Amino acid sequence: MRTTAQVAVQRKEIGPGTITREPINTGKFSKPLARVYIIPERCKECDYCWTFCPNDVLEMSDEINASGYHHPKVKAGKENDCVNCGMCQAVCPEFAIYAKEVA
Amino acid sequence: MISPQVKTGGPVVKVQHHVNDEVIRPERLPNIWCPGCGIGIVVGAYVRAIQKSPIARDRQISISGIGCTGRVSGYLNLDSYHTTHGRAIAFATGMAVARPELEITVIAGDGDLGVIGGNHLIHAARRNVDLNVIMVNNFNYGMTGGQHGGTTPLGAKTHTSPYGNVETPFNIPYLVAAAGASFVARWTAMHVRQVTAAISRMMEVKGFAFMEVLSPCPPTFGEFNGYPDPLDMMNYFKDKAVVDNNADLSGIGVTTHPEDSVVVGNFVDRKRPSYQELLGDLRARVSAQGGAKK
Repeated sequence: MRTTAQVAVQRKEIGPGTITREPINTGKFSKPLARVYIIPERCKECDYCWTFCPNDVLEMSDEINASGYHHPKVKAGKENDCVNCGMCQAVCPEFAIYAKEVA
Repeated sequence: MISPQVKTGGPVVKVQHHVNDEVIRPERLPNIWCPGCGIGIVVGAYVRAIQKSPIARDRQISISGIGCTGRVSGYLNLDSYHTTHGRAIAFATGMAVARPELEITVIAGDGDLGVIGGNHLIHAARRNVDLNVIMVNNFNYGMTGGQHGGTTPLGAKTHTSPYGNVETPFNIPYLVAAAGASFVARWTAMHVRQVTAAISRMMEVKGFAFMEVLSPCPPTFGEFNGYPDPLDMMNYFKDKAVVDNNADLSGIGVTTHPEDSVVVGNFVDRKRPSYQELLGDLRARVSAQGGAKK
């Protein structure tokens, strides 16, 4: 398997002989993937989770809970973008949302 | 390279229990606070700090006074005390002296701690009682309908100051640092990770550990001062907060004016003998010489 540097030389993005380095442990790391869990009855539609999600995964859903508030949902096409940063859980004043890494 | 087992996050999953439910009383939720209130964020930060803390759950005590923030104790599945107005620190001081092994956290509002209980605050800081005190500052008396108080910024409009507040507010971190606290910080409800980290640090500090958390109050303060939506004040904190741990505390009053910045940070972290340590030394010294002299 070729390194990123070898690929870049072949694509003529960098000249041959240029010193390039790649961390030797790149393969050990992977992007976490998490699933979003909500407790709809606790939501008060404060807009915080979908506004402050750094990966822009959440949005307001069309469904309402018993109090008439719209709870969050995962955006269509963003199902695999949650990286379990914990921002939605931290910024939620209602203990209504959390994410958990997919095992 | 695609791994043979493709994992998917999938859509949102509806459940009945939260991962923090072991420290809160889930049967009492949803809480009474308005949509977008910062008190719930502070409670969440406190709950996560407790979950991370090495201190056993049965040694963690939460004490609160009266007002919106006074309701915090009712939502925590700890030994929690809902005390009289302004006297949360007085209750906590007695408990901390009688049982020094407990980790006592006072969570109360600006009116409770800074105005009605102002003397308890400065004297507990002067004695350096080993307590953690979290003041949720929403700039007004929220629960009673939005009257102006000792932390309402100069010129801010409230129900009882419709033409603008003419009183100069307290600069709370400056006051508590001058009174002698071991740890003084200010963060906002937007700085969720820093609030959690500061609470974890406050649990380690031996002495009076104080944090002011600025919080949105959309229906009673924000509505009259240009922040009617919960997001307005959160975005103000996000855009205008300046982290400066070595700030000159005399100049960090909050104006909530959209042009003015909010200075936040862990301002003071110093070693001073705590009240319990000095009291323990005194007890040891007096009992070594055979009790009090006649």
